Amino acid sequence: MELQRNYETFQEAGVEVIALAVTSVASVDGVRQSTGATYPLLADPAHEVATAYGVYSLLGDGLAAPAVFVIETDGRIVWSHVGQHPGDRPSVQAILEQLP
Amino acid sequence: MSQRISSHLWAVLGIGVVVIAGLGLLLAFLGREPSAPALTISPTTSPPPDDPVVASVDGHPLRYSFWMEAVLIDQVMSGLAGQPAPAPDETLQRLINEELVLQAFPPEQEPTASQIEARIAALEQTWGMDDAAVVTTLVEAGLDRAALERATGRLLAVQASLEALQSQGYDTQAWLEEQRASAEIVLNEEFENVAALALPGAQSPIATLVTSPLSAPTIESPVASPTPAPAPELPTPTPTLVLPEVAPDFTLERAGGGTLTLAEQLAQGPVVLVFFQRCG
Repeated sequence: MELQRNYETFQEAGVEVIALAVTSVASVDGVRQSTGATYPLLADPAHEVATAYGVYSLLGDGLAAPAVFVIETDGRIVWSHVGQHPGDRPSVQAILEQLP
Repeated sequence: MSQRISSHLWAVLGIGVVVIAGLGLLLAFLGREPSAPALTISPTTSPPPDDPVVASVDGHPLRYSFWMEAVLIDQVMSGLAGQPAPAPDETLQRLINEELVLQAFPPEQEPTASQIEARIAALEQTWGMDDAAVVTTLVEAGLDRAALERATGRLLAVQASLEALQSQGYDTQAWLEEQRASAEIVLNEEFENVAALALPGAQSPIATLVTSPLSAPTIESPVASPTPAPAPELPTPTPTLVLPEVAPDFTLERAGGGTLTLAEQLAQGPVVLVFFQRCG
């Protein structure tokens, strides 16, 4: 899913995109530089957040499963997609259709 | 038997000809013989160190790394076209069918670099993206441009083989069915597990260009399990996912410095939270 390319679309919809991975800050720094991402890129090295969202190591790999959550301002998760294998991601269009 | 139409994949690959697209469709899922159990392979994200053979076609090995790269390329290209991606199992079936075609009708020459570049340029035009954006997408998926070049080269070779097959008067579907029945295709049972995607109900192997309405497992309640379509050959469903109903708050360090707290961000508007795996 090409986040950076579609970031503006999300912003125009009043939605923030936050990406995170079970990895170090140095790693996400590298991703930010190599992809030129302007959306927030977060590090979850102790996989606490991935665990809290129920996606830690679902694929048995010690990483977060590829997953997307749409969260309303009141904190409710109104839509989610949890990938069954690497690269199993919803299209940007599918996500946009779920926005509040 | 359950099958999934992935004609979109070949359309994505820029093959505008209806016949070729239909052939690609056949290549994608042909081989699901009624008596054979559904293949339940799913690649792990920790590649085995010795790059084992996942399947062999008349003695020609298809290695894990080759299959994994094809799976990821399929994911990326489907995503760029806004289409659902094929399951890893379906990608493997396509690779097996391609091997049969390539072995029987080897292209007279390898695709040239300029032919590959021309096809990539055509694809990028179809996607409405420039090369840098495509490379970014590839990197996000853990690939690089070289992987796209390899996949495109193979596509061109397979296309040439299919044209040779047709020019000799063969019906591709019938030819493939015959080859699948007679060829020695060995699958490495080590890769069978129960993590296969749910697939829609059984569909005819006759080529159509209608994309399956299958969507990814969309969970709208806190506890839900992706329910597979009723099909006796399917493996057991994926384990029940337990997801929170209310987004757990967090504060994490961010790339470029500083931290981000979800609750503070939500005060400004809704959030799309994306967990990713590879770090470029």
